[in-house]
Parts: sequence; structure tokens; C-alpha cells
Amino acid sequence: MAAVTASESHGAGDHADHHPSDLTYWKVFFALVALTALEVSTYWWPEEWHKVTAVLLIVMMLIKFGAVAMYFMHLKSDALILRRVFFFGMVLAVAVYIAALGAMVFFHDSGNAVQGRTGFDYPPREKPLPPPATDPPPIIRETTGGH
Amino acid sequence: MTDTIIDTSHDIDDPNFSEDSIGHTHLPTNTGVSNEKLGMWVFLGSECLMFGGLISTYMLYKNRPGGLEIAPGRTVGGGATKPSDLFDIPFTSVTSFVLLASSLTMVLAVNAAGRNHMDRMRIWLGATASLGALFIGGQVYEFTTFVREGLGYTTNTASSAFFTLTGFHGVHVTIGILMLVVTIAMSLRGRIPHSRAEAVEIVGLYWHFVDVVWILIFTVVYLIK
Amino acid sequence: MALIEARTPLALEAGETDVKPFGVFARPTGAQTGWKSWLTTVDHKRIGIMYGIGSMFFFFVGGGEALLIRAQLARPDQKLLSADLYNQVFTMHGVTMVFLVVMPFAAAFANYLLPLQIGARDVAFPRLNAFSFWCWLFGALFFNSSWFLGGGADGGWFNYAPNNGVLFSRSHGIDFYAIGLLITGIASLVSAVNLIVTVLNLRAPGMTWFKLPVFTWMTLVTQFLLLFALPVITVALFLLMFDRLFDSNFFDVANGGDPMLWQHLFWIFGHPEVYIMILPAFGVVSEIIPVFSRKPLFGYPFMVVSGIAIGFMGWGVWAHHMFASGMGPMSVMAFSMATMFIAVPTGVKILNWLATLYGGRLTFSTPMLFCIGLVTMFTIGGLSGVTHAFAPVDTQQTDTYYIVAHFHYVLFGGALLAFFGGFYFWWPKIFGYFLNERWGKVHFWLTLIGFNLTFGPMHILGLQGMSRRYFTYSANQGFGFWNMVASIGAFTIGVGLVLFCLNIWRSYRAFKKDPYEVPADPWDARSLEWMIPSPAPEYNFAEIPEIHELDDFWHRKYGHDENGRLVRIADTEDIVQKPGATGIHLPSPSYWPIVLSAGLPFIGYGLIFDYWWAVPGALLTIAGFVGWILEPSTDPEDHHGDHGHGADNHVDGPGAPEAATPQGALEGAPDDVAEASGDAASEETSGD
Repeated sequence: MAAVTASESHGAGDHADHHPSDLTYWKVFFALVALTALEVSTYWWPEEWHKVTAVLLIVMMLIKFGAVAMYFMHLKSDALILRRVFFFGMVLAVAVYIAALGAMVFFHDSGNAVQGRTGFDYPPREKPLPPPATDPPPIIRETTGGH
Repeated sequence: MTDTIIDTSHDIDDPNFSEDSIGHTHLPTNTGVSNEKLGMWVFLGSECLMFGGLISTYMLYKNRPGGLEIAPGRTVGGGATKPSDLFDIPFTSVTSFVLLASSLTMVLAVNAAGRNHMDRMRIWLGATASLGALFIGGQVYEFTTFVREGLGYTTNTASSAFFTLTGFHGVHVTIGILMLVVTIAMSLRGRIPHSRAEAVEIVGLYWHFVDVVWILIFTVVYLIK
Repeated sequence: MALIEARTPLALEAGETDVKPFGVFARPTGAQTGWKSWLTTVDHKRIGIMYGIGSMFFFFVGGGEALLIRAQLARPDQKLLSADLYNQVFTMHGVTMVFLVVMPFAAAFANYLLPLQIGARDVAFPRLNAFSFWCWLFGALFFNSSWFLGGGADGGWFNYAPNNGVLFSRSHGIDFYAIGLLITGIASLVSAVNLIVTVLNLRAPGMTWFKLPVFTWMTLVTQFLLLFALPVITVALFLLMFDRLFDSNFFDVANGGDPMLWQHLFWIFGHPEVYIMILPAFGVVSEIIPVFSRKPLFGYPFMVVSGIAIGFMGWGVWAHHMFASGMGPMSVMAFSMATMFIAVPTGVKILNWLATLYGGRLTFSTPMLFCIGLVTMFTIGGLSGVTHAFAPVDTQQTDTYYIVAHFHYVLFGGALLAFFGGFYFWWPKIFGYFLNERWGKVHFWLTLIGFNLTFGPMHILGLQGMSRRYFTYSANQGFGFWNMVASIGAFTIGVGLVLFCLNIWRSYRAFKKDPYEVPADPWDARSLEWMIPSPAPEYNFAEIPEIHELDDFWHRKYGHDENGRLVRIADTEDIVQKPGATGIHLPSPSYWPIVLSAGLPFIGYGLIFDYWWAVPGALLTIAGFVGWILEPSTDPEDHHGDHGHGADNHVDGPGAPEAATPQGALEGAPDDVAEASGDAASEETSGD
């Protein structure tokens, strides 16, 4: 509440006054560049670090995201309502899609479990299937619904 | 918020007050933010859900190339190449730097506009648009390379999801470039005076958002294995 | 693009005087009559009326489709519709009713009433508002044109994968579905942004969050739901369109696509969509019941907070539409529990309406009857809905007529009954004449009886095991009797609807023959829209009122004596604003919204049939964009004469001393009748 009231004292025209200076932007930019360089470097890190790398990458991504939103998009100094609207959308998106991916068994062994459902890793058959049909390709109906 | 709506600096009987209350210049809005800027932020909040859906689709499909043999001599799911097999991380890193730099030039343009340095603003806007175009060029190059190496849009679910996600982002960047060009043109015709400098900021919000989405895509799609 | 549109007036500061983009269209003149003025209008009231007319048209289309379904099912082994045509008819019926009837009815009320209820001159972006309407209309026409271009969509309104693939649906129907809904989705998204900004930014002085009328609140929640739900269906529809037109593999099971992805994306949108359809109706009811009970809405803060809670929780329950899809026990359990919780805020609303009715001085006018109809019918639908939260029960009921009965009880018995009530209630404010009460009551009873005859038996049919979407059944299945009853009921509803239209025509003729003056406040109502003359003048408020309390208009009319009894403290005629104000600056009409949106269906035809069709579409769209950008939102020359005129229409100066006295007297009075507003007053500062 307090932040909104404070920002409301600024008229529409004079918002440039509370924007940071060019120097601040350059500083933020170089921080972002450094972070990005670090991010890219993880590509050559050893394979067995992949779990730590992934967590680190997500943390760096969030920092970069926050820096652009807060400084370049002025959310830091602007009215609170803007921050609320935008981050509400962001949080909602993350929550809803993580829940949806979870319901689609995404997080269990990174996709392999999903494949088991869709007919890709169909258990090896005793009897070979009949020879390939002409088009259209056969639909493996009984595997489409369940998992 | 409640008490500032009644702006005591305006006489309620002032004819200008009632007359122009639909116009957005005289009457302070309830939130203190102009309609246009608030509208852009609300729209960007909505865009989060859109890119979230596309990113989720890619996540779901990224490890599902085709070419799986379900019976001898019988494969399903299209081609076996995954987008991640073809990623050229150094190249994509460069284009990511380009887009990041365009965010810097954009914010410098906004600051110049706020200080009424219109020439400098146009130069920075031009730089932003050029960097954006460079990024799009990089994306076109990336796509053509992928297609040449056998990963087309219809190859498998992973490729469809990849091209759709990055394609949507590319379309957003292209729209941003058009907005920048229009802004420069209107500024050249003197239609963005200092009092309307906020228009530049609103274009900038869109541009930064596109950049932010690329920050997500770059990490989630390209870097995390 | 529109966001860099002009401020008022753009051109003056830069020294330009006249902007005629390309010199093609001169700016439309400010004439208020004639068909052209409707095409170019940016007035939120006219746009609301056009939404109403448009959705009424599609109500007849969708209703006709419903009657075809009922005629086909009236007796066993009917041959009226083929199986394929039946698929198309029920699909088009569902999509039409959801996207082209209930949602735009809500949009009609929102457009017309929302600026009036918050004391604004117009919405935040008047031209974008016009664009929303035209975009919706062209998208709707595009979607329905599929009937003449090879057949409609045939996979049910949700068009589950893989049935929605080319393999199983070879006509272009589902392409029309995908592109048509994308176009109407643009309209809804733009409208959502517009109305959200309007409520956040343009409230009258003193109108704090807990003084907003409930209809405005519910509309705001709805618009936020639209804002966040539409991009999800947009993604799903794009993926579907790419699958069908460009051979991508998202839902193609043979190529590893996951049909569950479509279901999830669709229902992530689809469940908030349910609340998008019902919350505006809740808002309408919450406006009407207090007026005809002569009591403030019971528990206003609870009403508002439960609406917001529904909006939040609506995001966590989507997979209860998918219990039968085999998601796995963990997901089923989580969504089952969330679904049971969401019944709580809905129940709060029902109880609050009942408490509002309790002890009130009830007037059973037509609007009130419709609202009581909603409260009862929606409760039935809600109760059958709660049973679906239990996955084992739901598994039995999925895809039977029990489900059909449930969602018609909440959609027809909920949303549509409320909107009809809203028509009778706001008709004099909108058009300046009353609808005939007696005919209205006949309309109500026919609708209510027909509705229960139609959908009540479907519960039984569903429990007997009759499946949805089967185009016929055989005589020995024992479904014949109740299906015949349902069909008779459906045609009864149809008669009721025809009666409603006759009522409009007859009442108008009676008014023309024997004109009478409709007072500004015919129902002795509570919210701000009744403070302005009927029909509403184009400038809305001659003087923007200053708000001191919830139901401010009511409290200008009534106060309390020492015993807490309601006493009139001012004559309505003294409070309401007088017509004929001049000198009020309004947004100028524009050609570009309709030009811009007219291009979109052509792009759709281009995608489906031949890319050449997209050329005129693209040209129109680009022309619309360019014209829009170059045109200042308010014509610099469009000044309405003398500046000092606003003060002459000064009716009830909010800061004037004589107005302050009754307000002061009110504050000291006992506060039992107005308890809701009292609660709200203490909370006003906590809201944001």
C-alpha cells in the first residue's frame, strides 16, 4: 500500500526522474553479461555434475529474469500494482504448468516414463507384428488412454 | 490508494476537470499509472501463460524423437534427430548476447526520451531494432541449418515443439522490431513529443519482455541437458 | 500497436492540426444516428448493445441446433440427422453456446454497465473496445460459415485428441473451430485488458475497492480469469491448427504425440472458462436481488472475497474433467480434493443471496423471478456438480447424460436465467422503455418449466446409462420416455424465447404508440447507473459523482432514524442527473477497429483453403494497423463548444455543503440495515 501511494505522487510526465541513470543500466547489463557467460560455460562442465548444473542454471536464470524485470522494466521503482499483475501471471504460469507436467508424469525420470505410456517403449513382443500396413499408419489404440 | 483518488489540486467545479475526465492527461488515474502502461503490463502478465504453455509442450516432447523400433523393421514417431542433438551453443550464446544488448540499448533509449534527448533516443531505438534484426537473422540461420541437417518442422514431436516455441518467440521479436520502427518514424515526424515519452517506455516494456522470455528459453531449452 | 496510440489530443502538441491517414477515410462524423454511426462507434454502451444483439442472434442459432438434437433424440431410431451431421450439430451447439452466447452476453453487460457502475465516461481504450466487438463478431461468423464450407466441427466442444486430427475428422470443421476460436480469443483478450485497466484506473473519486458494486467485482474477476486462461487455449488451438494444416506432430499419436497434452491445455483453460461464464451471472443476481428485497446485499465483503476465491481456486481443479482419462491416482486425488474445496465459496454466495432475501420486502417482478430461478436451479446444478468431485462416482457418470444435465443446470439454469433477469432489469435504462411484465412472467415460467422438463430427466437418463453424443438409441434400451419429455421441454424453452422477442417488439410498439417517460431510477435501485437519465446519455455522467459509501446512490436517497428504520432523506428526482448536458468531450468514432478486424477471417480462409485468400485479409489488417496508429484517439477538432458548460449541469455537487449534511447524519445513525456497507467501510483501506 505504502509503495503505491508513494509512486502515485509522481505525475505521468515526470517519471523519468526516478528512473536510474544510464550508468546503473550499464552496470546491470555487465552483470547480466557475466551471468550469461557463466551460464554458457556450464555447457562444457563435466557430465556428472548435471544435477548441480541444472539447479545453478535455474538460479542464474531467475536472477537474470529478475534483473531485467526490476531494472530494465522499472518494476523496482514503479507502482506496486504492475509488479503484482505481472508476477501473478508469472507465478500462475509456473504453478499451473508444473502441475500439468507433473500430471503427465514428466518429472519421473525425465520423459522416459512418458514414453512408456505412448507406445514407444512398447514391451518386446513374442510374436512380431504383421508387416507394415499401407497408409495411414496404424494407431496403437489400447495404449493411448492409460499409463 | 483510496485517499489519493481525490486529488485536492483539482477543483471539482473546474470545468476542465469534468470535461476531460475521459482524456487521460488531466485526471490522475486511480493507480497513478497511465492506462497504456497498465494495459501493457496486464497484457504481459497474460503472455506469461502463453509462453509457459509453449515451453511446457517442448519440455514434454524434447526427449521424444521418433525412430523407435517397435518391431523389427518397423519404427514409429518420425525421424530420430532431436533438436538438442543439433544445438550450436556457442552460436546461440552469441545471439543471446545480441538480444541482451538490445535490452540495454532499449532502456537507454527510454532514458534519453525521458530527458527529451530525442535524437539520442532515435539512435538507441535504431540500435535496438538492428540488434533485434540480427537476432532474427541468427534464428533464421539456425532454422535453415536444422532443416539442412534433417530436422524439419514435421520430423517428430520434439522438432515440432522446438520450432513452434522458438518460432513464436521470433514472431514476437519481429513484432517488436516493427513497433520500434514505427516509433522511430513517428518520432521523426514529431509525433512523440516529450510529453508522450511514455510511448517509448511502453514499447520498451514489450521489448524487455521478449528478452526475458529468451532468457528463460535459452536456459530451459538450450542449456539444461 | 494500439498502445502507442495517441493521447488526447496527440496532434496538438506536435503542431499538427489534421491527420487523415492516406486520405482514404475522413474521420467519421460525430453523427449519432444511422447505421454508419454504429459501425464506427467507440461508445461502450453501443458496443454493449451490439454484443447483446450479436449474442442473441447466435442464441437462436445455437438454440436451433439444440432443437435439432432434441428432435433427433425424441424417439428411438430417428433418422432426422445422420450420425455425422449429429456430431456436427452438437459440437456447434456447444461451441456456439459457450463462446458466442454466454460469454458475449456477459461481455454485453460488462461493456454497458461497468463504466456506469464505476462512474466513468467510457472504458480505458474505447477504440480497442470497438475492435473487441468486431473481432468477436467476425470470428463468430467465420466459425459458423463452416456450415456452408464443408461442415462444422464434429469432435465435441472440447475436440479431444486424437479425434481432432485430420485422420479422424477429414472435413475442415475443426480448422474453422481452431481459427474461429483464435479470432474470438483475440477479442476476449483485448476486452479483458481493456476492462481490467478501466476498473483499476477509472473509478470515480472515492470509489474504493470495497465500494465497488458486486457486478463490477465479479466482472473484474472474470476478466482476470480471461486474461490468464485465454493464452492457454490459444496455445492449444495453435498446436491443433499446426497439426491439422502444417502436419506437425503435437497430438498425432502415431508419431508420439500425447493426447493428454491437449486435454490438459484445454481444461486448464476450460475450467476457468466455467467461472468466466458463471461469475458475471452471479454479479447480475447480486445486483438485482437486493433491489427487489429492499435490503443491502447480505455479507458484501464475503460475496466479493468468495468471488475472488473462486477465481483463484478455479485454477487448481481443471483435471477433474479428466478423471476417466487414466491420469494416475495421485493426480486424481489432488484434483478431487481441490474440487471439493471450491464448492465452499460458491456455497457462501448461495447462502448470502438467501440471507438477502430473508426478511426482505420482496417484489416478485420478472427480473427477481429470474434471479430466484438462478438461485434454485444453480443450487441443483451445483449439488450434482459436487458429486463429480468424487472420482469413483465421476467415473460412473463421465460421458453420460448425467453430466449433460449437470452443466446445463449450471449454465442455462445459472448464467442464462441471470442474463434474462438482467435484460428485464436494465432494459429501461438501456432502451428507455419497459418490457411488459405480464409477458415477462409468462416467459419466465415457460423457460423455467421447459428447462426443468428438458434437463431434469437427463439425470435419470444418465443414471440409466445413456451416453452422451450418441446420435440415436434403440427402443429396447428404455430411454424413450424421458427423451420425449426432454424434447418437449426443449421446445417449451424455444416458445419462451420467441415470447421474449415478441415482448420486446410489443413493448416497443406500445411505447411508440403511447410514449411515457422512464424515470432515471424506476426500481428504486442502489448502484450508480440509476443515477443518470434513462436511456443513458452518451456522455454517461454530466457530473462524475463522488462516492462515499457502498451503494452510494441508495444512501443519497435513504438514511436512518433513531430507531434504525429506513427513512427517505431526499427525493430521487433531486438526486438523479438531468439529461441534456453539453460540452462534454467524448472519444471520437473511428473506422479502423472494423477495418482491422475484418481482415482476420480472410486470413483464416487463406490458411484453410488457399493462401491467396489471405492477401486481402493481410492488406485490410495492415491498413487497419496503419490507420489506427496515425489517427489520434480523439479528433483535435472535435470540441463540443463552450468550456464552462459542465458546471451548469451541476446536480449534486459531491463537495457541496448541502450534500454533506445527509451524509454526516447517516454516519451517526444505527447501522443495521446497511450493515454490509458498514463492514465495508471499515475495510476500505485494506483493499487494493
